[in-house]
Formats: sequence, C-alpha cells, structure tokens
Amino acid sequence: MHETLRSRDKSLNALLLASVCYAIVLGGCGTHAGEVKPDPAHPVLAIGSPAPDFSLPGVDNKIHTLSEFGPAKVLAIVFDCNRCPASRLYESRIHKLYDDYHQRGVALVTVSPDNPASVHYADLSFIDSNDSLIAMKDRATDRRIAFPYLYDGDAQSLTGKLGAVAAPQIFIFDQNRKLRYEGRIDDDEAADKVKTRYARNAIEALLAGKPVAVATTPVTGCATLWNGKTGADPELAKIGAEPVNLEMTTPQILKKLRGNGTGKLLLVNFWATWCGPCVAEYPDLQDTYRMYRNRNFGLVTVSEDTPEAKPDVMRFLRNNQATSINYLFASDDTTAVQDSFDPKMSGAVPYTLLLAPNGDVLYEEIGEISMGKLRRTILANLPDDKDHPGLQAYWKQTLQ
Amino acid sequence: MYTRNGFSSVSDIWTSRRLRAVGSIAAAALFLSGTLLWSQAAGGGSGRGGGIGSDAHHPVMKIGAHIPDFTLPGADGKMHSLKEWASAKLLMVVFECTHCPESQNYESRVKALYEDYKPKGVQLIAINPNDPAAVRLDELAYTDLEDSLSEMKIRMADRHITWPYLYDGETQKTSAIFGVVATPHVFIFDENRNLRYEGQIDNNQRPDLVKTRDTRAALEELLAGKPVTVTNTRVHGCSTKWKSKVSGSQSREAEMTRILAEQVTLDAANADALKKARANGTGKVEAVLFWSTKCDTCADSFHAIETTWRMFRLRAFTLVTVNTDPATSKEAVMAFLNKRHASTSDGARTPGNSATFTSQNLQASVDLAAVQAAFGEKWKPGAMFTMVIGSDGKVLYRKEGLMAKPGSFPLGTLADGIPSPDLLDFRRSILAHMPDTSGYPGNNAYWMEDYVKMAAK
Repeated sequence: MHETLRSRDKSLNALLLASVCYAIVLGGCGTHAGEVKPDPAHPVLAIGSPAPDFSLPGVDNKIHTLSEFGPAKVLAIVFDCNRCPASRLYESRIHKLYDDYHQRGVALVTVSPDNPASVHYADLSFIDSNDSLIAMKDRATDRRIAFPYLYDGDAQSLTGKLGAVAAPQIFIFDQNRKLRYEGRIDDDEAADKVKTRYARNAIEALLAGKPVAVATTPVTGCATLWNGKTGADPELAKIGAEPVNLEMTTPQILKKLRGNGTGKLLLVNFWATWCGPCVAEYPDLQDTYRMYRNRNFGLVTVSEDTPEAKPDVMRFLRNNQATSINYLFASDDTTAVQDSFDPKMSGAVPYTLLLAPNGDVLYEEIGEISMGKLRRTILANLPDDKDHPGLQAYWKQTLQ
Repeated sequence: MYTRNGFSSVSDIWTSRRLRAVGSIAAAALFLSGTLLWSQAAGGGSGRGGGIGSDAHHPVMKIGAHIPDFTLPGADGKMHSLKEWASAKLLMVVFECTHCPESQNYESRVKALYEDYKPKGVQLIAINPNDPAAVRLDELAYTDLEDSLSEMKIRMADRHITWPYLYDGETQKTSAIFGVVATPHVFIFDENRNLRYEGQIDNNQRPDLVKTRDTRAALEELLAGKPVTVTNTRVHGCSTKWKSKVSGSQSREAEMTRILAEQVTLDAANADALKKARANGTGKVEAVLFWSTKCDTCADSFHAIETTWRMFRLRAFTLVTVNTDPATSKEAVMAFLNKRHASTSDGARTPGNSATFTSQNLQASVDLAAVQAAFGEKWKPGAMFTMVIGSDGKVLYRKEGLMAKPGSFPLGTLADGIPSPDLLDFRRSILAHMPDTSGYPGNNAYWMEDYVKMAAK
C-alpha cells in the first residue's frame, strides 16, 4: 500500500542536488542516452555479493520475497518502470528473456524503483502512465506481464541495496544467489542494432556452469529518481502561474473546432458540472494535457452547462487549474449548439474525441473514457523527436 | 472481477483481467471500423436515420424495424413479455434507470406521458438497460439507489411509478437490439410494432427551456394516422452502462483498486475539533459518524456510510468519522479504518494523479461524556451516532443506533448491498441539501420531496 507521499526537501543543498539529478534524468531518459553514473550515496552491489533480501508488493496484489525464488538456478532482477521510455523499448526483450528462460530454471522479476511523486510532467511526455502501483497494474494487464512486477517506490530499499543506476538495468544472481552480472541487457536500445546480448550471455554461462565473461557493463536509460532528491516540478509552478480562461462558444467556433485546423492533435471533451463521470475524469484530462502539451498536442474542454452556470463552471475550472482552451455553451438551446459542432454528435456527456490535424476522428467515446487507451492513442499519433526514436512505433503496437 | 457480492479471489481478478485484455483488443478493432462507418453516415440529411450520437458498438434500431420480442423481470416482481401489450394501439418504450440524474429529472414528464396517452391507446413501458456492476461509485453522486432490480423496486414504491418498469441489466440483449444510447431514450412503435420514432422526450432537461416536445409530436401524428415528421432526435442523458464497462481502466473494479491505494489518516479529536465538526464551517454538507470498537452494528454501518461517501465525495459533501474510545490504541483504530479503506484523501497532486477530495478520521482524546459535551449531543455509550449537518450548521439528520441492516453490507468486501431505510434517509438528507449547479436546477427539489416526507415521519 501507498504511504504518505513524502514532501520534497526544500533546503538549498537539496535543490542544487535536485537540479543536477534532473539534468541527468533528462539526459538519461532520451533513447540516445549516454552512460548513467551511479549515485555516490548508493554504490552498485559488487560482483560476488549475496542477493539482499526484499519484501515488495507486486501488481498481482501479493508480497514477493527473495525466498520464493529458492529453487531457481538463476535469478534475474530487472529494474524497469512505467514512466521510462527506454524501458518501453526494452519491454519485448524483457518479455522474451522470461519466455525463453523461465522453463530452464531462470526466475525473472522486474522492479520499479521510483516513487510517482518524484516524477515530473516532462518525464511523461512520451509515456501513458506514471510509476504508481495502480498504474503498474494497468500496464501489467495491458502489456500482459507474466512475471512479478514489484513496486519499490516507497522505501527504495531493494533499489538502494543493489544500487540500481537506471532502468533498464539487470542484476543476475547464480544458484547460490551471488551476483554474477550487473549492467545493461544488451549493447543497443534499438533492437535491430544489437550486437552483444550481455544478459543472455551471462545466463547461458551460468546455466552451463561456466564463469560469466563480461560481469559488468555501464548502464544507460532513465536514472533512478532517489526519493526526496528530484525537487519540485518546474512545470507545475509554471502551470500554477498560468491563467484559467473560459470563453463562450458560438456556432462558428464549434464548427471550426470539429474540423480541427489547429495543426495539432486535438483532444476535445464535452462535459457538464452536473455530470458525475465528467467531473470524476476531468482532472485526468488536465493531467493528460500537462503530459503532452509540449508536443504537438492540444486540449479543448467544452461545458454543456447553460450560460447562467458560468460562475460554477469557472470555479470548477479554477479548482482544476484548467489551462486548456475552455468553452461554455453560449446558448441554453443545447441541441442547436450541438448541431453546430456536428449534427451526429452524442447528446450524452461526457463525450470525448481525439481529432487528427485534418479533423479525422482517431478516438471517440460516449461516457467515461478509458484513460489508458486514450493516452496510448495520443502517443501513437505523435511523431518521434530525435531523442526518442522508436516510441511512436511502440505505442502503435500497443494498440494492435 | 467485481461483482455485487464483492471481489472474488485475487487470482480470479488476475485471470479475468488478462482474458479481458484480449477481448478489448478485438473490441478496439471493431471500434475503429465502427468509426469509419460513423463518418460516412454523417450528414445524412433531414431524416437523420440510424440514431444520433450512437455508440459504435451498439447502433440504434432503424426506423421501420420491427420490435424484437422480449421477456424481462419487472420491478413489480412479475415477468413481462411483449405480447401482454398486443392490444395497445401504440407501444412506447422508454429506457430509464435509477441512478441517472437526468432520468430522475424526466420522471415526472414520463409520468405525464403515461397518464395523458394511456386513455388514447398508447402503452408506455420503461426498461432499465444498465448493468449495475458497470456503474462506478463516483457516477452515483446524485442517487440514493443503484441500478439493480431490487433497488428499482424501492424506487418504484417510493416514487409511485405505475407504468411497467422492466430490468434488462442481466443480459442487455434487448437493450443491445434497440441500441440504447443513454437514459432516457424513447422508442415509439406503431400498430404493426414497427419503429416510427426514436430519440429524446423533449429537447431540454430543464422544463422551462423546452422548445420541441418531440415524443408528444410523434405520438400525436401517429394517433392521427399521419407519418412522423421528425423521426430521430439526439438523445441526452446518462450513457448506457454496458457490460463492457464492468472491467478495464475506468471500471468499478479499477475504481476500487484506486480506493485501496488511497491514504487513510487518523487525527486526535480534542474538544476543539469536535466543536468545529459540529459548527461545520466547510461550506459543504457534512456527515459526522461517531463509532466505537465496542459496538456490534458499527462495522456494517461504517461500511454503508463509507460507500455513501465514495458516491458523493466529488460534490459539496464531506465526512468526519470519530472513534469514541480514547483508551483504545491508535493502531487498533487504524486497523479498523484500514480494513474498511476509510480514506481521507486521494493523495497530493502528482503527475497522473489529482487530489480531489478530503475527509477526516478522528479518535477521541477525551472520554465519551466530554465528547458529547463538546459536540452538544447525547447518545447511548457503545451505540453508533450519525448526524448530517447543513452548510449553515443546521441538523438535517440525526440517528442513534442501527443504520445499515446487519448483513446488508457484508464485511470483508467492498460491495454495497441493498440500502436499509435508515441508510436511504441518510442519503436523501444529503442529496436534498447539496446545491444544484446553477444551470440545472431540479435534482435538489427531486430529493427534497423525499426529505420532506421523511422529516414528517
């Protein structure tokens, strides 16, 4: 279970440290990342050391410990997390490691090292979900994860004992649970460019009773976010300072909105203050906007309340710090206003559409949205930038 | 998988969710092809055939289509079949439900339609299309009851519903053939039982803003032997709760998973905290619940109130629970609260998560007599005591002792049972006093009718 989210350390020292860590995170999260250096406070476990004990909750709602892997000939602990793009590019390779070796006596577990409170909006620009145990459960279902996927974000105890540098990083233990390999899974984040499969080589050697030739390799990927060290999210402060606007719609505005024409991928949500599911899902829509708004993405929310409800609508938008473009029906003739958007639009709210720049409907939902599916559809329709090759293809594949 | 009897074992959840993931991929493919069809169908001219704003998975029945046969259980405890109404000149099917505020809003208009046209040979029947397990608790912010058949029976009795009211939440087969978009959604069939009108009752849920009474217009034309001018109109209301919403990221099961992860906190209830709770300066309707570890019925009732809290907590409502055992260890009180997931917040704002509500759990730091003196009420030691206090500090509901019927809220599950009369009174006291949003008056007044009757008892 989640503990209280820890408050960020506000001392000057911590802030300085935080900005350094943040720079590493930004560098580390790119797919062309260089080596991520170990944190001096958390040295990497030395080759030959015994596996530390652990007791961590998994996405299967059970507590997992070292002893449950007792009979396995080899134990592989992979640091992996929801929010890490590099982890996603390695996802199918991690699944294949499990598929290929679990019947040969190799146990594999993945561990998410981070607390979701340490994650900033900028970390989520190419990702559908954060590092909470709930989000991990959703991912486990969606991506059909067959092995234990554990959450260590509260105390980071196993992460600290192993000195995990980044995700993905693999620690391979022999039958006596002595560390025999630590480092990257292979030598390239692009699966088609891999030349050396370090993790497979180590596992094969251990299964054959031979010494592991290459015992450590430098790690790339998303640096571990040590609790209390990432500082406040600069984006959150920025969002907090932005105005919250509410404009009355006209039939012209709505007609134009349906055709998009913004040049961006556009999420349009129709809602009302009196609609339970609308109010429940609205904060998640604003979060979605915050995650992707620095890419070619926009959000427009349209309240179907009557014009006289403007103060209520405004209060709600302010409570949610809704910095998206927001409209309110300018007429109480709801049907006529809906017709101006689209004669075929739903009369039930919430009603949510994802529009391509040319106005094509990429996603449509009457009633509450499936937030995961919506975010994956958004990500599948946003082109990669030079630091994140391969991610659009990954998200497209998750929708198949 | 979430059922009304609670969660099945953890491993069952896992299996069903994984199987479901495969199903949703097939559904996604279907959805995409449906979207294409939808774009092509757009701009179909004045006839607007095929239903407006319909769900791609459940296309609306086409004008001219023959009514499907059905046999469904009614809220009157009997089974009903189509042939019962064979002699009626016209048959009007209204899809409505218990939980939906817009359905409640239209209840008196449905009643008027039934009474005005019954003498003219029009038979009105209502069908609830929703699977109650597909409705999340946060979608129940405007209701005392859920959409189960048992709860429909309570609504039928309370609101004097005299027309047949059938339940299709079990299989949704009939609702799928109709392609019910939302509640309320009307379908009118002629003497040959072919569809002549489908859509809204009228064009605005606010009676004072109604411009077109489309259902009445269609009935008048049909009764006069004329063709219907406007055959399809856009339906507005609460989207149909299809079985597909029983699982997935926006399901009640997912909501329960989130609730399990929410923060449970416990603070000391000193005299000041109790006085503050009694004065209610929150600007919201406040429920205060005093309970003891020595009270037999407290656990069930606590669970019933927690469920109500989860239903209303995104509106102007807050909850304070007060444990009245100062000598009991904090750990024992926390164990009770944790077992019932009595969360006080959904966490500080983090990317991907928003704090949207707060409540309070308190443990008395003074003895019961001092608690009662500070709060200004008296009740039997060891009994549960519940109050609902308006934003103006006025007492709206006061109850000593039993709240939920023992067993109706089984322990160890998160499922809700059939609400006891006490619990309904509690819920209606809150519903009648949470303010309407300014643009849509009506819900408050709807519940005030119940509250006035209750206060007169």
